[in-house]
Amino acid sequence: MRFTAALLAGKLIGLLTSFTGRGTNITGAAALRLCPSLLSRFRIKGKIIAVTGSNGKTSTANAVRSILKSCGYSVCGNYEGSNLTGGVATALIKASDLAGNIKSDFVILEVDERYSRLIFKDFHPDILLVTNLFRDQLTRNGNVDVIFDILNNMIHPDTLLVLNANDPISSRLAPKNARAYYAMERTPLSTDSSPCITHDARVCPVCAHRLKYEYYHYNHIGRYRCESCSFSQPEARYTAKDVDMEKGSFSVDGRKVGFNYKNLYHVLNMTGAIAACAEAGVGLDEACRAASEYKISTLRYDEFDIGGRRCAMILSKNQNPVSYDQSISYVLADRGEKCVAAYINNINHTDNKDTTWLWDIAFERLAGEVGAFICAGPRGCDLAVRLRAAGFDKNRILLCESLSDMPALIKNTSGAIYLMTELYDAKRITEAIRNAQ
Amino acid sequence: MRNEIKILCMYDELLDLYGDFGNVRMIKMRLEEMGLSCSLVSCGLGETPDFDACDMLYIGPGKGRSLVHAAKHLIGYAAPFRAAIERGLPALVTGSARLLLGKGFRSADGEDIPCVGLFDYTGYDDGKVFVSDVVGELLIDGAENTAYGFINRTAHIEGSAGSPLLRLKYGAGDGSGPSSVEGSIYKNLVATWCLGPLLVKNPALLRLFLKRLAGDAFVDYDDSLEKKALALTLHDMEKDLASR
Repeated sequence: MRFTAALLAGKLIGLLTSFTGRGTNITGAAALRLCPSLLSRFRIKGKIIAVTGSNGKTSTANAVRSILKSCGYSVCGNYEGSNLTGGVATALIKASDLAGNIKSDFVILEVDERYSRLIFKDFHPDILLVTNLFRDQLTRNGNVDVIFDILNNMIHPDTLLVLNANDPISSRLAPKNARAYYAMERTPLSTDSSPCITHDARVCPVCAHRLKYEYYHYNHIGRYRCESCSFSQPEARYTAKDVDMEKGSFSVDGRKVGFNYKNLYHVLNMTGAIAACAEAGVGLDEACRAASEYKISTLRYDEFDIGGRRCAMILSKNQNPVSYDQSISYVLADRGEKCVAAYINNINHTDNKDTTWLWDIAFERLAGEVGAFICAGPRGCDLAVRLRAAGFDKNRILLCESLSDMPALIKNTSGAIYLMTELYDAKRITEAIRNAQ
Repeated sequence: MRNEIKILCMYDELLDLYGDFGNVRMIKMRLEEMGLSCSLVSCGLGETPDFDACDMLYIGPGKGRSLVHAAKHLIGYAAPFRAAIERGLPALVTGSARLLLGKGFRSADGEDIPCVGLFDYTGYDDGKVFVSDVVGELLIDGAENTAYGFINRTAHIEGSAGSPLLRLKYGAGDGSGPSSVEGSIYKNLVATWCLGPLLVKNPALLRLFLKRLAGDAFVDYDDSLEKKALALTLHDMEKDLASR
């Protein structure tokens, strides 16, 4: 009864909030209050594929969804980062009929790693894809070990794991579970040493002695082995090979895959999505063909024109240095004239003034590579200090104390404009830059 | 002063939780601007620290299990470590690495870990993330100033931490309850939960370390940008406090 009442209430709230364009979380949150065990009460006909990890959850879950849809399957799930308990409940309410039946072939759930234990308290996914584990929002999440323990404790013994073999941390999850690994071979962009500061696996996760790397794709993602114990990269069932950034293509087991967002982590995430779909029963030929049709969301990455100049907005999460490191890689891939603007806010859920995380981002890689770097936001001056220490010429660091100064600063720069910003701040800084037209 | 200033970075690969290595980067940058050479010497598990061969010691924050590994290694060098601090080796210890300086701590897994005993406190790690902005007066000769730091920890200490680093105006201090002081100063050692990185956010404190390291070779430098960043942070903190 409680379930039926909660489901009907959820359907009703969902209908009402659909007119306001809000409510990805509140519908589910309200229904969960009426029936706390709501999530486990749906009768799900198809397979549940969950995607979690520190970085790339949304785009990887979207890739899984896109592949399955393109292969003709019916899918449902949460969209665009509503990945807490309420967001998952909202998605299931929406997908369910009035009797609680979800008839889709697949339920794709993007799940916040910290909330995974609450979401999967009473039911579990058939397949869990873990993209990676990095330091991320330490003020909220705790460190990588804490997140690893949360995931380890919540993984159901019957869940099939799809894990990133290039990540020495998440590849060790739930060792007794059935698993399929995916990986990426050395690419022209892979390096012998890590070009980044953030490296969460400098020491072996088993014995704490120094971990050796054959090569790095980015941060601590690469091919590794420990010389003090037997820990090394597991064998992968799905491996991305022949990565060609110019052409935007790679291959998995001889099957070609095209991609539109030219970044190594995106190739690895795509490989993970293909692996999850193949493990779910989709033929590898079909999965690779369908993956080539996937285009990354404009909420994560968008391009627009400012007075004849190309402006690219790259979503870069505060307190998530790997996210910024990836944005930096994207900027560096453009060999033309360019400048960067970043909006550095206080910690977005607590308003703490912490800027420690700026020192985990390898801004050194951009020194001498960009014509100007505009530092905006409440902690923009802290970014300016960081850039000086990273070797930037002081004349190339432009402090933007008020967003109303942004148009004038932009006009003083030339070439393409790269904008690094948190989702919450994207709108205001994008508007400020558009005013430079 | 030596020709080359060596900073011994203890467990820099193991204790690498948050961006506090910025402290060392900033010291190195400023020393090099003064025309001095500065090298960073790493010491990890299975290696022998040479406290006599360095001009400064740095230990930064680490994850709970990593700290246990570090403590078990450092205890083997407790006597030379304490002797180095006693003779006035400049040292900076930030975040959870403070646990290493007390008599011991209880890990999140419940294991009691003995430490070098430079201070009388004992610590414990309850695994719960605790964050706080910290604003206080620096209680250190030559660096009287208002300081900002950020605390993000799962550990606590109980017992005397010696002379404090900060008299707090705002934020969480040492001990498990409210406390008006934070951090420790002993000889030329500064230890604090405050991240920031501490020396970047507080240019007066960086200046003090640089004067100790460079001695007569110290050359004044322009740190107006760092001062401005601190002033803006303190201004925003004041604004927040006034609106509460």
